[in-house]
Amino acid sequence: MNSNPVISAQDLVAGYKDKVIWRDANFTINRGEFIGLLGANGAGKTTMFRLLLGLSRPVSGRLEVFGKSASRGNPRIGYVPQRPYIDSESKIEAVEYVRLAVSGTKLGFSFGRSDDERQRAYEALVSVGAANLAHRSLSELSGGELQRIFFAQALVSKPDLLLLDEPLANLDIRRETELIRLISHVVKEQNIAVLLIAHDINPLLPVVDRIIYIANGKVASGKPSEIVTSKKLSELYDSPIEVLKGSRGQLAVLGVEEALHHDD
Amino acid sequence: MTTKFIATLSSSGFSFNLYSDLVNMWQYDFMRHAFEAGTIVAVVAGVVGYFVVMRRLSFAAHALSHIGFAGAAGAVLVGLNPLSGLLLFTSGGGLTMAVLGRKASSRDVQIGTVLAFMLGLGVLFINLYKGYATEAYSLLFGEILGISSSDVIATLVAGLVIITAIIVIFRRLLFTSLDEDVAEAKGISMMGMSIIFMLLLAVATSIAVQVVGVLLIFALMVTPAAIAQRIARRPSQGLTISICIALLATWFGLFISYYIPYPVSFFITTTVFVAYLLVRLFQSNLVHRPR
Amino acid sequence: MKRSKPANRYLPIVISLIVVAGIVIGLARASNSQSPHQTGPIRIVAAENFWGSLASQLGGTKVTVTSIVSDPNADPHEYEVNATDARDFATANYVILNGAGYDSWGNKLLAASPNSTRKVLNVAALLGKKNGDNPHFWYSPVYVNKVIVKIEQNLSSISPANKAYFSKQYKALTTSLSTYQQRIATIKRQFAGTRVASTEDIFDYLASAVGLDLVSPASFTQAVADGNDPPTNSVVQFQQQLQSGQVKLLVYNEQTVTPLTTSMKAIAAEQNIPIVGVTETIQPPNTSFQVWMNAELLNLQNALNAQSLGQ
Repeated sequence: MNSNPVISAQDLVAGYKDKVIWRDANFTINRGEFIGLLGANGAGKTTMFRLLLGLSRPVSGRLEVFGKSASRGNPRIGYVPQRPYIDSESKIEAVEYVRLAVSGTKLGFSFGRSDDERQRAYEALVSVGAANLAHRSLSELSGGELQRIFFAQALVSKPDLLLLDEPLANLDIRRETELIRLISHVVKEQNIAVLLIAHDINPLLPVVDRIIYIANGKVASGKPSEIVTSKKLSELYDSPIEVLKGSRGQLAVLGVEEALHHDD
Repeated sequence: MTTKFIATLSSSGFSFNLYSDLVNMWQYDFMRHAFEAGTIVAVVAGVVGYFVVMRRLSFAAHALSHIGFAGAAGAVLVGLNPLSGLLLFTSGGGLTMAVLGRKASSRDVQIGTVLAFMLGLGVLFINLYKGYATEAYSLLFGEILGISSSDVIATLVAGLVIITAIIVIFRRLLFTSLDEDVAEAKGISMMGMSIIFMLLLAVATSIAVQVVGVLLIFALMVTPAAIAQRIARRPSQGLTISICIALLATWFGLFISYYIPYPVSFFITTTVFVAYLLVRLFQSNLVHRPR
Repeated sequence: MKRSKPANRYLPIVISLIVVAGIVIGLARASNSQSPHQTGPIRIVAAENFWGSLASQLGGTKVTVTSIVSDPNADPHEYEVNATDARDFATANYVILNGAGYDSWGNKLLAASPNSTRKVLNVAALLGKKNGDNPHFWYSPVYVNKVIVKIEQNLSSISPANKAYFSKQYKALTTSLSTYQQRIATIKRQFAGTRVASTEDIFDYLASAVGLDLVSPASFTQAVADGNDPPTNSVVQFQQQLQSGQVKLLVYNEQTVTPLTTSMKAIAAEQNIPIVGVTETIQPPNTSFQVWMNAELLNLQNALNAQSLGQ
């Protein structure tokens, strides 16, 4: 496809000194691709993000982001982490949070440029359809509204790669669909590569190009139809997994719990 | 009771002319020094305190002042200026807290454990000291009426250093305080910011102790900021409100205590507390109004 | 589209507040002409009323004396200054401090209001004592005599015109002091060597002046004075002394009271040991130094008498 992949992983192994979390990750991700990152809890999905963000070093293998080794503070990456804690007493407006990404890493004050920065933040909110939320405080917002705000924050610096950690968690089906459509629309428009961590593949099926699946210390990548199959998943988990297909294309994955505990 | 109150006021020279009252009290060196040091401390506490509340370090700030007390007692024991012991221990304590990490859930327990040990050390030092360790004890409630000219200079220098440092790291400090994970992903060192901030907090605590004392540090370092946090829609607004409340409380406390001879620290803490209550009351009223 | 609000409207308020404060302080500083002229009586401030009383008698009509610590119900070790005290220090011509850590707040107040024309007498420094030594100098008649000599000297140098007057006052005072000082000699003649106990080290100097054998463990009496917990073995020892009939008398400091001293007092009462109360500051506050001392010594003398008769 593209000779300049956004991410390129070769024989990548993740872990700490004496413990390997997963191994044999081999994949490339190109501009404009929408990739789902799936796997059970604790499989190591957030670890993948940490490697990409340069916050951890791989045990072995090569990981390149935009052709260079993954390093900290890459301005071309937009990151939306899980945020379990929102300060319920703080009244700080949403637009101020978005504005952090405009110049928050620089030294000093935004002498005199505050208004411009706020304007840029506001425009990012407009691009995700959250202009009406600009002056609300975070504690007043619903889960879906919060995700839009933070999505806008990630977009402010015009990234070429977006990393989203479980943005769909705690959302109902309708909000899930809305958010996925929004993300898909924006990234197609701006040709951004997206890596999105999710629990369930179904909300992603309409938009995702490929998936990366982490299980049992192994990493597989490919189209959903190749990976989310009984055969492939049973291989990954070393345990019988059944994938059932619903009448409208939904996928149900059964047997993961047992697979995770089969050594107990 | 009221007539006695009015009598006390007028016998000490109170008039309703603010300007002449101030000129009157400022002929005394000690009042000038108190206002000067108090102003510097209030501004610093308002600024630093805002980040203390934002970073959920209120208990750590409280603990730091007690840890500093142990240092002051130790300094008195070995014959040094208690302020130097205070500074040394608050810096050490702050540095340790920064390095030990940031998982808020277990942090309270860690801080509390260290705090108890430090207070125990303080008791030991005071016990070992032959004589009544009044210099260490007076740090408990502040001695704003006993501030010399050189104390003011020292406070000013410390204050300028702190404010300058905050200005230099402002955006990064704000980012790491409001949105930790993204800030870290963007390359800002969490540990580095933490260390710098805790050291600034240590110095700020040390100069604030002169005004309100070790036990009441919350009044300047936390409550004005807590009030600001509940009101401000932007960080710059929050800082301003925090500074204003700390300043007004300090000035008011000093002014009143000139006429009604009770401890300054009491007046300052009461003012700040009343302000907090008013804001809470006002806000809960708002909540019940229909949108 | 909503325009962002104009730049922070609170910031100018803060800045103007600080600027106004700075201007007014500057004005006050500029207009300040300290060194109040020597019109009227010499303004003396004594940190404690015992030195204040002596200074008042030495200065007579030529001085006004303000004593800071005089509340009979408060522990002088724990005194907290207020603005009135600070004002008094700032406008004083002559300040008398006990020193040796008893009133270090006084040093702070002096530093906060520097005044080159103000004279300061630090009793501890005069006596060659330092922080950590027993500060209850006023209970030693020898020290008291040294101090009043110095006060007279200081007064004469502040107001040389009144030198003769101060000299007359000095003579009158020494005569008046002789009553209690002679009582000390009397008690010594009759009861020297008697074993007594004391809850705090206030009694040390006086005990040696009257020749009584003060057997209470020093670690106990000093700890109480310093505001610390006495070591357990000293508490045990103190108790044993009371309960084994070793001491004839308990001298009880009524101003430095802790739960421990209270319980020692109770034990003494149980054992029918006479208890003599002493205070740190003049009791009642409106009497003179020597009347107070004399009353306390009279109590002591009576108790010792009763003890020797009844036993």
